Amino acid sequence: MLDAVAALLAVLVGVAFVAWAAALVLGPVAPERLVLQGLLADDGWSRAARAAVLLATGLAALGLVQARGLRRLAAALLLALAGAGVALAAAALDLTLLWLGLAVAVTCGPLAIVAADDRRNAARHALSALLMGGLATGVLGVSFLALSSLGNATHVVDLGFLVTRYEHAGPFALTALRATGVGVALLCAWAPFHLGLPELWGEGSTPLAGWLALAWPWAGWSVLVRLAGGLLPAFGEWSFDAAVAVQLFLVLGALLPAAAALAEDRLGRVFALLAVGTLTELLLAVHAHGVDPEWIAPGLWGYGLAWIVGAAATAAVRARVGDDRLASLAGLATRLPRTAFAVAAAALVWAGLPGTFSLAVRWALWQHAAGATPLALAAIVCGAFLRLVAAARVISVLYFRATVRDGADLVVPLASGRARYGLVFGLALLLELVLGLGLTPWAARLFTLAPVLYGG
Amino acid sequence: MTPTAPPAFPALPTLPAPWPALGTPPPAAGDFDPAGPLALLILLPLVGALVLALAPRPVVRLATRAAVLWTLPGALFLLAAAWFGGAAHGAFAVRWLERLPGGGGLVLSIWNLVPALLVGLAAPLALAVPEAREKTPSRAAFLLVLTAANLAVILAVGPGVAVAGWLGGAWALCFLLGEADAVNAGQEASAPFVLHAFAGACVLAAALAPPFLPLLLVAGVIRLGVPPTHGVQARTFALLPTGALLLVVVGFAVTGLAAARDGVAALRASGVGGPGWGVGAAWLGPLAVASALAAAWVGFVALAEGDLKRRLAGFASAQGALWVTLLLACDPTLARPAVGAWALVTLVTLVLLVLAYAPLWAFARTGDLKAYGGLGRVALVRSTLLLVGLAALVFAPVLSARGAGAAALVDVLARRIPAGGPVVLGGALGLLAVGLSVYRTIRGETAMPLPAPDLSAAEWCVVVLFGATLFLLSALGPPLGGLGSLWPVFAAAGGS
Repeated sequence: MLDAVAALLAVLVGVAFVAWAAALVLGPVAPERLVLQGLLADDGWSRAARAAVLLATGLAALGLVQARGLRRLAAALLLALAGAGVALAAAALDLTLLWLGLAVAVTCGPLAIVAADDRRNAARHALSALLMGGLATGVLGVSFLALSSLGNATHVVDLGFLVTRYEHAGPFALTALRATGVGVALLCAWAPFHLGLPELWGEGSTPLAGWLALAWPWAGWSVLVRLAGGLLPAFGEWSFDAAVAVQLFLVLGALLPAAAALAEDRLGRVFALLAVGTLTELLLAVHAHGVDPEWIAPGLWGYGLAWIVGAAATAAVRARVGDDRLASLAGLATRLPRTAFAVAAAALVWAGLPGTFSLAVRWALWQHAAGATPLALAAIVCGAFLRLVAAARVISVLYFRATVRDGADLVVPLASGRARYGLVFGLALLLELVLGLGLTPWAARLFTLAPVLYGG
Repeated sequence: MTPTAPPAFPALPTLPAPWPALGTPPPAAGDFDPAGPLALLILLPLVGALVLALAPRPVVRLATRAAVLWTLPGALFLLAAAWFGGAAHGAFAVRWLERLPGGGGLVLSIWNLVPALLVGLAAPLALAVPEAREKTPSRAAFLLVLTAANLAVILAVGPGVAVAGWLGGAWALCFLLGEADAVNAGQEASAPFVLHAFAGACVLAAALAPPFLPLLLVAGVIRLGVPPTHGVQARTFALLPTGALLLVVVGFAVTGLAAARDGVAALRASGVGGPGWGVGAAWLGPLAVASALAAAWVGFVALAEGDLKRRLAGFASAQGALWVTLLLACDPTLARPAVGAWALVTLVTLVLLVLAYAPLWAFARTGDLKAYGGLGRVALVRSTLLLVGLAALVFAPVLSARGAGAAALVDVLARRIPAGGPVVLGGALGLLAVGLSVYRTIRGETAMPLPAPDLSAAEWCVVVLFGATLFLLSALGPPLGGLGSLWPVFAAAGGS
């Protein structure tokens, strides 16, 4: 009885969050405003982040089928709390609140993993997530402390004017900003700080790993957007440093994960590495004089939709085959044509499927930013090519290999479970196509954020 | 179509060619109509592929057999456009611009009508041609995808649709090869896919930044099978089913030539003071020599092949290398009409050759030359068709564009540049490879008796259809169309 009630409550929480996200995306646009005496901004960026995190949290709560009873409810609530942390960070204009949001997010997320999944691997993943999140928040905390001490202020707008007030403070502030870059890189999976994430995102329990993969980049980018908006006056001096750092992250991030995906033997990790490469391309929206949130937000939305498509396909494979090793998937198209189609579609979405929203925003971003930076463009194109080959490898395993003869028998999950994977996959793919073809005003809504306060 | 009143061959129309949109601004937004027939040309085959993928088991066989219907409206539309432009209202009357809902647009004009017509007509043939193995839904679906991808490249106004078309073509090829290579578990599909995906990546880079426009030459070279990619092309041709072979021969050649032309143009423009790498024009000579040597090399390779499909691939590679050499070595005003018209005659003839051989391949289930022979004794009409095709290939440089092909070759030889000898040798060896194959088919001994191999009624229809097509193309009239000058985009863009 308790199990049923907890499951029902978790499902209700999930449905409510998804509905809330839909209302945020579809509802009327309210004018942006400052709340809590200017400590928080209710603007385009924070609304986009809130909607994305609500969607991720809602879907993750709906997907928590392994946990039973109160554990399931507890996991859903912990995820909700972590999501609230990300939303707080996205809206914060004050360094203390920004850090607090991040700390809540990176602490509660891993706790949700151990609450929902009692397997040994889950504990390992939770510990990894906690360590990585702790490292990122620790680095960010120290750098925020340094910045606020140098500027004698915690509000990002004040920091921009105060931090370069003293001539000798400049190098220290720049060092703090570099440290911030490392902290953000850990959250946003910028290479070479991405190394732990393929395991975390690709091998963890699908709904929870998916939540981490969707919410953490929003948190990391929120730090960058808010700080870049506030520190804009100081960028005149630091533009060269920023440009070099961005180019380095961009080149490494475009090439390394894509090359690693070619050598992976697990579907989840392949998708995670493809995701890391795609996520890195958003750095094209960062330039020497600041950040363009109006390009990053739709980019993160496209990335999120692609993640949902891939996660639903991966979950379906794990539910039917038992694991996601590529060797076990040989000839899957003859055994499970619909599941194989879902995996192939997900691989194509990561490689770039014409007509999908994720590719449309990437294409727009490439055209917007790549022409001015041939080196970055070359890296992006090489990375895209490698990801294409990695996707082809997955597809050839599914369609062109003989079926595994001595493989384990297929698991037959409940019809409701199969329908759930299919529903999530179909909905995400449909959204990708509908938004990608620009058939509705939602696409324009995601592209044209309401003005971002103190930034953009 | 929006007919405009043209004076007698005035200044060239300012419509984008299939590719110059990469380097030139697209037409004003007001010129575009909402998505309509042109979008359907691409969308209809894709819908057909989706229907085949989702068709329930009881009707999937019927859906596979009826797959050709998804391509017929497009072929008829393009034929009508050719008639409208060529016979009724003059070449410049064809001017059709559409914008797509997700951005980008499509254009059909005198600039790209001929390649579009070629691909549009090859598509139904590819789906209807007799095959050695039973037609499967997935094969039919990916033939439709390949058709849509090639048409997207040809009709694209901007780079987005064109890049999607290139990569879509690579994916379709991957599936067609993988499906055909069931014996080796699709292992052979990897290399061609990686190569063509790389070509797509080159197009993507070129589409994003003008300094990378010369990479289009690399993409074109890959699609044309010019060495060092000739080995992969030969394996691809040997493995592909006949319908896919037909579509790849036509679609990849027209798109590859367009890319090569633009790559050469970009290279030519990137000399001193030009955009790009600043090394541009200095590379033309060495590249022409390399391409000519490649033509000679692949000609020798083709001659040594024992498989008919591989010989056709070798011939196509040699011709591709020859055309690239002419584009690199000759003045654009001479090279472009020469190459365009020569290519059109060659491609139409290759389609006829493939169609003539298709029943033999379907029966013998092999491309091995020893499997055929003595056709002249039992199938006089088919043998005549083969001989006519061979003659067309031999005389293509003279037949096309008032002998512009031959003039370009003579120009290269007369200037005594190092590319001259090898390029002629390569062309001759490629022709010899196909000629000897045809000769053996007609006169040689066969290992097995060929059952009733003369032309069927359906094949007669195809021959008549191609005759009508040639008539329409020739009616486009010089200097932009017809057998006087058959590739308007090449003929007209001489100065760009």
